[in-house]
Amino acid sequence: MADEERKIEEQEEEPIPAWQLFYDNIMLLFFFGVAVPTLVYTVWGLMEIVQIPDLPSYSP
Amino acid sequence: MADKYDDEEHRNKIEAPGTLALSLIFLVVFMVLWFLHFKWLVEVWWVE
Amino acid sequence: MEFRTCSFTGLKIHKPAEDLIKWNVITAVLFLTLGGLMGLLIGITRWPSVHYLDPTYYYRYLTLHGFDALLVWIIFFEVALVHFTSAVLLNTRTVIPSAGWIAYSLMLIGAIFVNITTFAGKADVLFTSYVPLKASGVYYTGVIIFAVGALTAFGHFFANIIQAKRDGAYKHSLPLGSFGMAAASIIAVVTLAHGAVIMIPTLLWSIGLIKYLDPGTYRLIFWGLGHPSQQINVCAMVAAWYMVSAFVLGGKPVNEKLSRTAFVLYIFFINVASEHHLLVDPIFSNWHKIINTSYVMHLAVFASMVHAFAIPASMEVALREKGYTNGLFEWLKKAPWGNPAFSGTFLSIIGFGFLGGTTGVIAGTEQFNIIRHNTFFITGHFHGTVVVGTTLAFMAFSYLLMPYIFKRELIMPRLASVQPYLYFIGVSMVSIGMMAAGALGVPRRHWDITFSGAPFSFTFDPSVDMFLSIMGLGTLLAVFAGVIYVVVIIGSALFGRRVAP
Ligand code: HEM
Ligand SMILES: [Cu+2]
Repeated sequence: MADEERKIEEQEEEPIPAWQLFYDNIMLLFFFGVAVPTLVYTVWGLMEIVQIPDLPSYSP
Repeated sequence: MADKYDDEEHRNKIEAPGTLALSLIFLVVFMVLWFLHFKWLVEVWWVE
Repeated sequence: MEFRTCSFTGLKIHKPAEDLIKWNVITAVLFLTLGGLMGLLIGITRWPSVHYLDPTYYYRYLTLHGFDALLVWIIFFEVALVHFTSAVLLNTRTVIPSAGWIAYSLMLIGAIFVNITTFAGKADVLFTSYVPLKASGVYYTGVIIFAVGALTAFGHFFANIIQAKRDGAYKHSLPLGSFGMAAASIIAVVTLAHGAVIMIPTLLWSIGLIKYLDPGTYRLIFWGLGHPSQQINVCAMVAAWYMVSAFVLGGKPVNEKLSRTAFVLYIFFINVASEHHLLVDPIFSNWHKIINTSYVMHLAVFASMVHAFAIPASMEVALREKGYTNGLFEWLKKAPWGNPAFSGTFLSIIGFGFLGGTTGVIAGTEQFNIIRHNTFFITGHFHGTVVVGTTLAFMAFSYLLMPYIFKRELIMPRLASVQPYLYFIGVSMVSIGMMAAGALGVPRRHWDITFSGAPFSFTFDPSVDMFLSIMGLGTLLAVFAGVIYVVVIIGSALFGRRVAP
């Protein structure tokens, strides 16, 4: 996205450090921000819940 | 809004000595409080 | 003319953004008033020598207090911050203002649904509405409508910043305040998605379309909503701290890379802290608990510590530039303590860090949680974070919005300048009283800690009465300061002297 702009920029100033480009990429941050808690907390937690066996007498 | 942050200008300078002092004071106070709290917890909750 | 230039900040302000900010702030304050009134009633009920409400009303008003104060006040204010940071701070326009109004209306309708059902006695389930406690379907419908509205509002943030980039309002990096609200908006999406996943089945269950809903699953997913919504608050609050430092003192972050890194750590890692609500739950394995609450979560705690010192440092640098350079602490003495925007922010940083933050880290540790879970200690802890921290920070920020956005001077400026101190002292007493009583075993959400009529008897340590009285006196002071706040803000918005635009 920001590639063409960056080229123009580079002619004028020194290049922007990689970590800054990463922090400026809000959509990439968005992806990790959703993925990390969903996997580490929610999905893992659900997997543990479904592994619990039902009580023998239980019928839904 | 500069596009590249001017962090380099600040490198290796102590510009906020007061905040540094405060942070050290709080660190010491908190460690003391924590250990007092810890001792008290052990007394209150210790179950033989 | 759609734009005006603010004479205080030089920001270019888009009229529709300005209107959205005004309405969201005023609505937020009205719900804070309602939530605060409920806080008064339940506060003096938990004060043993007063014990005001009867049990039915205690639980009813406790439900409303949690919902109105924690969700409605805070999220409406955050939506105001969404428009402030994604349009005003970027000197650009808010895209599709009608989407902003739709979001606003949905949130308002949802909140009204919940309030009416609860007042009518059809939803005494506390704001966590743990299954199998069942409320009327209208209650869950209200929660869902509110959440959809909030999701629309946070989606607006992304629409605005994308359009702003196209319009050339910024090239690469958002300003720090907007970056903080970007973190808040990302977390909001996680939060509200969990909300949808759990509240829709719960609604179907309450109206009888689903027979059985598993309480363990409910708790897991509910806390994917309940806890991260507190992290939206944290990000928005920290963003407000940076902005107040910038607007009031001209402070700039001492190390922008560090401050942004701290926000990125929030985005990645703060949400898993939800797990601390499940630490005594026998369903989940130790590894699930340890990974979530210790290793991963402490990266976010680290981020909070970075902010907690980066902001005072930026204030110090700005004040030193103004010439207060004697000794270590002249800048601190000469800081604008009479300006409620500044004092509120500073007290919020202290309170959030030392009342709310440290105690939260203690209570969120698995080994400590087993003796703290569901005691009054927890309630004390989060009145440190969400009241002394977030609420006070938003109060402080709203003092700035009066001239910038409402174009009005504060009425009763003297009273306004002591308000943050009174509120800080009052809520700190509430928080400390609760924590001390809770450390001695007093439960939260409990109407009668004397257990009268119970088949067994139990008496707490006699000092519990004293701690609960400290909480009670703090309640009176905090409510008094809350009334001052509401009168000053609503009064200024309506009758304040007009300032040049
Ligand atoms: C005037 C200030 C306030 C006072 C005196 C106050 C007092 C109280 C009291 C006494 C409780 C009941 C605890 C229990 O019996 O278990 C409570 C609960 C709670 N308060 Fe506050 N509060 C105040 C402001 C706030 C604000 C501004 C917020 C949110 C931003 C808030 C959020 C909560 C929450 C989430 C609960 C838990 C409700 C539950 O357990 O379901 N409080 N508060
Ligand atoms: Cu939590």
